Amino acid sequence: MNRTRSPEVPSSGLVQNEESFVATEIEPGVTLRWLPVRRWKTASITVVFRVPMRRETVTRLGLVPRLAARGTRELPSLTEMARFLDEHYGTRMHSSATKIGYCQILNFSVSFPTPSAIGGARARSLVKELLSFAWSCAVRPRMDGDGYPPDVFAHEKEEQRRDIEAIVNSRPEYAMVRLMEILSQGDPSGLPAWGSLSDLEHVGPIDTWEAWRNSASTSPVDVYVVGVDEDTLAAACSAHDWAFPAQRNYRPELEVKKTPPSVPDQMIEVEDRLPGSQTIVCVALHAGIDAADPRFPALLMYNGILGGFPHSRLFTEVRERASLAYFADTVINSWRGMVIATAGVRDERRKEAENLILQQARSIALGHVSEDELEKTRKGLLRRIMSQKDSPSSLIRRSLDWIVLGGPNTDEELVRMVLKVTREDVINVAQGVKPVASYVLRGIPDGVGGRDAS
Amino acid sequence: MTVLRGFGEEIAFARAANGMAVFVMAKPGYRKKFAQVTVAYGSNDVVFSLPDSEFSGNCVGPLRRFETPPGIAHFLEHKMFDRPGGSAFDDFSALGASANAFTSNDFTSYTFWTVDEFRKCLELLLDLVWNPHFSEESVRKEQGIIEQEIVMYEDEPYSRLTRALLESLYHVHPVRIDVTGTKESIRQITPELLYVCHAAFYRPFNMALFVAGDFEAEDEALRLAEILDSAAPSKGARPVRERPEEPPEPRQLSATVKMHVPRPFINIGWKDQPGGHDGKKLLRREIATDLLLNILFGKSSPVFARLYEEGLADDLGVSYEAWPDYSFATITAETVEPQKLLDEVLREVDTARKRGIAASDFERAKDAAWGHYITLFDDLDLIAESQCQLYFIGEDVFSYGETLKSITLQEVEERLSVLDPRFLAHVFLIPDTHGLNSYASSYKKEEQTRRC
Repeated sequence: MNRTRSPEVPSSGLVQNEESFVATEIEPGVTLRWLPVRRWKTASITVVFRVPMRRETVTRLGLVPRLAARGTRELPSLTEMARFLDEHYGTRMHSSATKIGYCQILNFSVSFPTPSAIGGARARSLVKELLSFAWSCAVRPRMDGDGYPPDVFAHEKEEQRRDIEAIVNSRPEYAMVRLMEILSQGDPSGLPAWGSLSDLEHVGPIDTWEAWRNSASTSPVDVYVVGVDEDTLAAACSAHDWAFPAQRNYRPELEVKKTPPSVPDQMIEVEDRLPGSQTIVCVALHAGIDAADPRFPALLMYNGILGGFPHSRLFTEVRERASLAYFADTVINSWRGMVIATAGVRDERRKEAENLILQQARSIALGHVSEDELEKTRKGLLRRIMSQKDSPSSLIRRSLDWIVLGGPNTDEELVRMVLKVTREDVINVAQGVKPVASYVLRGIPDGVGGRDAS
Repeated sequence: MTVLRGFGEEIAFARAANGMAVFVMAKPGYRKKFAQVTVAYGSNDVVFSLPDSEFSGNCVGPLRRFETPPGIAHFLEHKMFDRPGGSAFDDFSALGASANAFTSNDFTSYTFWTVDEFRKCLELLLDLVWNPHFSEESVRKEQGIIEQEIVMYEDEPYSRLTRALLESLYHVHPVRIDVTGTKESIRQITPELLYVCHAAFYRPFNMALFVAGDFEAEDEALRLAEILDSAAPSKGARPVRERPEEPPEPRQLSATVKMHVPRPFINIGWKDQPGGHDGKKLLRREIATDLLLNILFGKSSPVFARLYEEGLADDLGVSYEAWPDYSFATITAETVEPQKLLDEVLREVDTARKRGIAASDFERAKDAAWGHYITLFDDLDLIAESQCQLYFIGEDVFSYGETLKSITLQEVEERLSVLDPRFLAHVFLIPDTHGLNSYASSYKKEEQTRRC
């Protein structure tokens, strides 16, 4: 086994006592990432497959985590799985399909009390048994011949359809999904992690298993382990069968970074109407600066000044001063190189909110950035970066972001870069920002709604 | 000074001379430092009394009994961030900290996270909770902000379900009113009323401070007790919270809410008798009922799998709320057939009453609860919230663990009495498709309008 302390290797400096994942290549494309930190009472094993977004596979693979939760070959029913987890100190199992940049992230994880917190004889076998369980969820699901059991598959497909439709139950989430759909303009890499509803109608239990079998066997795999001591982990790993559902055929070319969908030539403005009380206003601001760009720390600062914190422009201007919204903030999409602003407002004040968002973006571009807001933002960012060290899930997310999107590969490096960002850097970023889309999900009284294009 | 210990964790406890409780949890190796001030004042405390002598100055007249508008505790929480020079959020940001606050039916809490300048952040937090600053203009502006918060919850199915169930279970108890109040009630709030509520409840003996981070817990607890004592004098009597007399039966058996959702939801509730003020009894009752609900309807129960596989229940969740003056159990799910699911749940309860609880199910549920309890110590927000709330009933997070260990099968079986059909109410939240074809079809449309 080829063991390295990378790519999250720490060195002394601004971030003190930095711990990082110790990476060990188990076989080509399969990397064990162990965090040698013992301060938590929760241990976790997270098996992650990184699969490039492809139209022909994304919808099928979006179903795989649901099917994994229905049973493994060893524990082929919901009740058997649930009882196994309960008997292992209430271990929590989580499987999901999410997205980082151009990758669909298939995650199969378990979290449980650390063996040291439990103590006793059972604690010693816990890690081995749960590693085997998590791996089985990923690659040894319950099967029927060459595919998933048809009845289980049909049920999960229907549940998936309902869950996708149920995104409307959260208006801000639905608005964000719609904005991304609008921005992607049909590019499959811009699809959400579940793929598309129209494709879902055409998937079946055998072709879905085939898609997953091939993807699992060719994709890079990361196994994150937190809260387990080295000896226990080594014993669990050496006893573990790392078998894949098909002959392992790792393809390193799948790790080549893909560019995001191109941005629209002109500002797109879209309105939908959905019965409800609140109107959601979203504005996409394209900066063309992704996570790997040396100007990315300046974009982080720009985002922080515009809407990333309670001292930011949108909170103070849209919420506090104009009394327009309960929430008004921004997030970065570090693959698309965009800042997305969102606010929930009264319908009749939607245009006012949109104008205020654009006005604040222009104000920064015109150089109206005070030292005070610059330093508040810098401090807030440094706190966020350093605080991640206390959260295993944040550390895993940060590691995956770096692997997929690139950028500063240590927190120390990121801190150093944020410290160097000047007011001029922020203004330069702001001057390159272009509003590319606005999306308004209008809240309208019950009974007069419908999505329309007025 | 006392050190509470258990399960490899320690929390130092001190009480400042002014009566405020201080808890310090040592978390060696943590970068973040966290503090939370909890006030035993929530949305249920709308009617209260204080001796005349408690008030002086311009804020209040000689009244002893106060009937305040629903939502005022939450409104006060928002406005406590106002400071003479601006917003406390800004001041926390200047120190590199992140601050937040939240209000429940019974408590209001203020928190911050920081990696630096902990002492200054704490001083700011204490200044914030003890030195209110309200103006007519800022109160008026806040009404617009909170109105948007209210409508945001109106658009969330689970919020609507919870509200409708509590309105069905309770006749007059204030738990039936939303924490945020209503658009109408918040318009009645004035700076004067906010000052009254602050003066009545934000008193050191009615508050607790919880701190966690890489501290020497005992030393830090003593230091903080001194700081607290100098920051606010002990004053006044305890406000007497008034609760209307609540009948034991639910107000109504059923309610239906229409909303634009793709599929129905159900919320089934059983109104339990109030838990009373004996903390130990309250804790045993809460833990035993939680175990019972998980044994009957948790993921490892046969009924959970059957209901899921038959397409009758998705995201089926159980909960039990045990408070001195109100208690209730709930089962919530998304379902295509709410009535059928209700029938199935009631049948399962009936069966459990007849057959009892299997010892193996009890042991397994307890094992799982134990594991969840242990991992709770990594969640500082949750530990802080739990410890502060338990403190006000005379318990702590370690006595919770000891109680869990000592719960018996018999206690769990006895809690079957809570699932009594006489105390049942249910809410169906059903899709209102008027004006819409279906979400499925509308979602797939590619309608876009380019306005420019």
